[in-house]
Amino acid sequence: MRDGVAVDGWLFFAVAALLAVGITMVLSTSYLYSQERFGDGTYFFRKQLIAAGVGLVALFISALLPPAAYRRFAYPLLALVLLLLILILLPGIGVERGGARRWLSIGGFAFQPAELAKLSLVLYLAHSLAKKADKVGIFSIGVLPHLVVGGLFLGLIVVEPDLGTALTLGLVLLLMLFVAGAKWSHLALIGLSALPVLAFAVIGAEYRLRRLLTFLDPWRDASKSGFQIIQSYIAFGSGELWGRGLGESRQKLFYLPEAHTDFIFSVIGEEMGLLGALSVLALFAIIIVRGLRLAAKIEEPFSQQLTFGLTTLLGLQALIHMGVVMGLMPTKGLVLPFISYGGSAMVMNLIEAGMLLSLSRGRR
Amino acid sequence: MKRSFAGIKFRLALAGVFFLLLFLAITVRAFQLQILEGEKLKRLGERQHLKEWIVLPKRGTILDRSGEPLALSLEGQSVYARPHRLKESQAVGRSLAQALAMDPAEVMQKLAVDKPFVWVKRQVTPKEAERIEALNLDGVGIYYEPNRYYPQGQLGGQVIGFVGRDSQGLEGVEMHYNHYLRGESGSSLVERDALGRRVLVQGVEELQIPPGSDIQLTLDTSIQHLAEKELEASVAKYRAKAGIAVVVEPFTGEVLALANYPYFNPNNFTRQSSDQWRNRAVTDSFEPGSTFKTILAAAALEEGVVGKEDLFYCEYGKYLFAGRIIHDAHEYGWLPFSKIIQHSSNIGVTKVAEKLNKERYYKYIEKFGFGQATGVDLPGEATGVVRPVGKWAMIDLATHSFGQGISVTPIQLLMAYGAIANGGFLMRPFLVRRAVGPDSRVLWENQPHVVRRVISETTARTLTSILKGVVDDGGTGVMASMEGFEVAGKTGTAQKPDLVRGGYSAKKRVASFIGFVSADDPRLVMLVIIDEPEVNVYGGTVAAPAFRNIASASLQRLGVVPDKLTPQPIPAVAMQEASLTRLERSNDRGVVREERALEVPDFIGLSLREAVEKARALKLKVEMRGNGYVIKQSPAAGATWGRGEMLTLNLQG
Repeated sequence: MRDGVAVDGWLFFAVAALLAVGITMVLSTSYLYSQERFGDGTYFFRKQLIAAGVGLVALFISALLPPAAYRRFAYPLLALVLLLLILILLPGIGVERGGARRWLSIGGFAFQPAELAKLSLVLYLAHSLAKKADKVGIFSIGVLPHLVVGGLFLGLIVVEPDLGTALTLGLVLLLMLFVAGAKWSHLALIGLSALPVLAFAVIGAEYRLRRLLTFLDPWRDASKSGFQIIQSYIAFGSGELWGRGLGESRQKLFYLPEAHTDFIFSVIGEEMGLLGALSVLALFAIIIVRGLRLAAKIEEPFSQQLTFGLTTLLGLQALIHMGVVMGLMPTKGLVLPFISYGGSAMVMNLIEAGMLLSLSRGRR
Repeated sequence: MKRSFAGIKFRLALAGVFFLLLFLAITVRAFQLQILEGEKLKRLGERQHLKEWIVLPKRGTILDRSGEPLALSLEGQSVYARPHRLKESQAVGRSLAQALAMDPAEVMQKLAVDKPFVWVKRQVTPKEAERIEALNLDGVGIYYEPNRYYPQGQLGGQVIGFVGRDSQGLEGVEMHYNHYLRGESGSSLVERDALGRRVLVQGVEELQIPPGSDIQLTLDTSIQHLAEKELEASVAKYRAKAGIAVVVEPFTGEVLALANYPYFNPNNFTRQSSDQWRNRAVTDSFEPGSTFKTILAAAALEEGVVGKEDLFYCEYGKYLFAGRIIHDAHEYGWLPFSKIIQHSSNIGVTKVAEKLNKERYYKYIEKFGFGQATGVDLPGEATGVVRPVGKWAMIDLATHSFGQGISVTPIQLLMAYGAIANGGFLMRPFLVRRAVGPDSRVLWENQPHVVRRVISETTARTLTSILKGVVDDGGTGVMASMEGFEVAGKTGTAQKPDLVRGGYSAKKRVASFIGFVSADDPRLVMLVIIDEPEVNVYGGTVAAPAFRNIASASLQRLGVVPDKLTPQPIPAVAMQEASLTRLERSNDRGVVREERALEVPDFIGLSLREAVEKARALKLKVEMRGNGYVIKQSPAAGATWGRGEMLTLNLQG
């Protein structure tokens, strides 16, 4: 083991490779759409390049900061995010797109507070769980406060509405509580009490119910509600083993909605085949494996919790995106970290990666 | 519980297992979708990406006989919408309605349809298309599709017909010759995006489709124009309901003009009723009335039961036959056969019909082509109604002889008169001369077709001289006579059958005049029908002047030199002089005949049409046998031979 500035090379390699694949795929998937909408095929690509540049700078800065420095941001960030999440719900402040208020416009840049909320919640949980390390098994101290803060976040995100992000965060919360040592019985209780809330959320909004039914059998209504997921199947199927070749996707010709964001993995499957899809999966596997190994090695509670939380956050988003586009989970608009188009997510994901790299420093 | 590092490691391991399971699920699913079901899904994808792209060729042009375009295909623009893609269909609907000058409710209704594609408005004007372009609406676009344009508007509208939106002929020549005009549509598999647009794949050549063939009509635009103008004037003057005028070349059967009033403009066929676009000269039949007496006369002459000057007693206007009284408009006593036709005596023709008998009469009705389609190259031809002779009652012999109880189409009647004009041949009428491919190659040519010989040349000549009398002073058709040309023809004033009450309508008449000119060297045979005139009902008054006007202008247009260079004397004083003129004329011919003995020209290899034209130019009498091209002629080419002789041509092909 060398002590010093060396970071986890595997982790850095995986992130860099995903970023390269991502930038390429954004160009491939957005070109025609962008051409269609703005008369400029590289519009999205250029915006993504800028986001990646900003994100890389942020990655290096966060990688250079010592993990202990993050801890100081835990509460201020929590407060800021709560404020922002409330602000975007107010008409006139939040930017509405496609029926959802998920964006804040700051100086011409649309920004998604939910992306910041992900990091903020992980940071808060790591801090709080580390602080209460010995009392996590006590419900009122180790579980309840986290449930209240997490529930507040989730609730605010659900009403945007962005159920996908909320569910992802819920899972991250549960996993972090679990690893921190929460009792099985407490976790089971949370799970059981979450069920009616979930059921209410699904049945309460007709489109969510429809989505769920479509998930169960997309072919039942192949031309309408099942259309999207079937188009995604077709993309994967058309890729077969080797793929059609980069840029050769047919499904991105408006058969797939949002091919450059919510369905980008389908286009990867179509253009680069099973081998390409599994390669991307393998890159995420590297991040998760390295992250979990790192968490297992770290003894300092905050760093350990933060490592596990960030790894889970990045890994779960990727796995859920893939599961959704392959029809293993009900359709939700979730982006693939480092790959999908979207500035807020790109910058935040790279900051998260930078933090992981910082955590890995000197622990090899 | 004390925080235990081992416990956390265990829990981290369990979390790792959780992730491992997710990874496995995704790997298995990817393998299933991409390998196991890959082929099936790929095919499914191809079904939506690859679309057979059918390219309609540019439809051929329809030209008149001198090459004047009557129907052209232009590139048109249509506006479509993709309702599923519309974001704010209310706002889009409003701006579309405004830009296209449509009813907003109608546009909304179209946009509300649950379909991926709807036409908002087809065949928009360039201005409208420009406005739509300017709006730049998401989910709204312009599609280029060929548009049919009829540069002459209503001219010959019912003959030309019209075309549906996908280049299918729906009426007239457009329909009958759709096969040639439409051309072969081509198709290729092309990739399409989800909006149905073609994806340009590099290296794939744009599909080149040869256009459809052009169709050249026998119709002469200027004669058609004349006919339409005169017909409309007569209908207006006599406050009639409708009118028909048809002009045919008697030796070939080529239709030079065919007018149906009220006229029909194929440029906006949707706004006109089907009554208006029907070509009634071909699709409708009517009771011919007195014009049908000529058919009886032909039969009686051919069968030798009457001579031109045989006398018949006309009973002074009332004649009891088969239990019914037959009336004449004027009272006559003894009349020679020729005068019976000239004065159009019903009693006279009844007596001729009695002498002929119904079986022989019926045989000629059939031979002249009544009750059968003429085979004209237009859709929807009617056959008319001729009851078989076995079902004739006694009275039918009389009524048929003056054109009642039988129905014929205008084109049938015209071709029957054409047979009298051309020396006895029933010709098949036709409107299309040829089809010319895109490379200017003649793909197909219509040939004059002799259906059969109906009467002998002698009978035809005798009949012609009788019909000349109709137009002479004392005849019913004096108003058809014209300066410089002799007209042979017959008037008709038919009662219209009352379809509601049975029998005949008290007031409604069909006035007609049919004839050919010049009588002895006919260049055209023409029928003018005026339906339900109110001011005056007699064919000789209502239809004959239109005949005269159309005929004289047409002959001028065709460049025919008048028979008689001296002005036609005023009919009222000139009965004698008229016959004198005729004498002079026959003298004239005699001189020509005596002057020269000719070398027989060569006809071998000519088409029927060319042979007819050549014979006419050389003023030769020709008998044609068969169809197609001349393979044998007698006497042979080069032989010396006098003008009066008959040249026989055998055709085949």
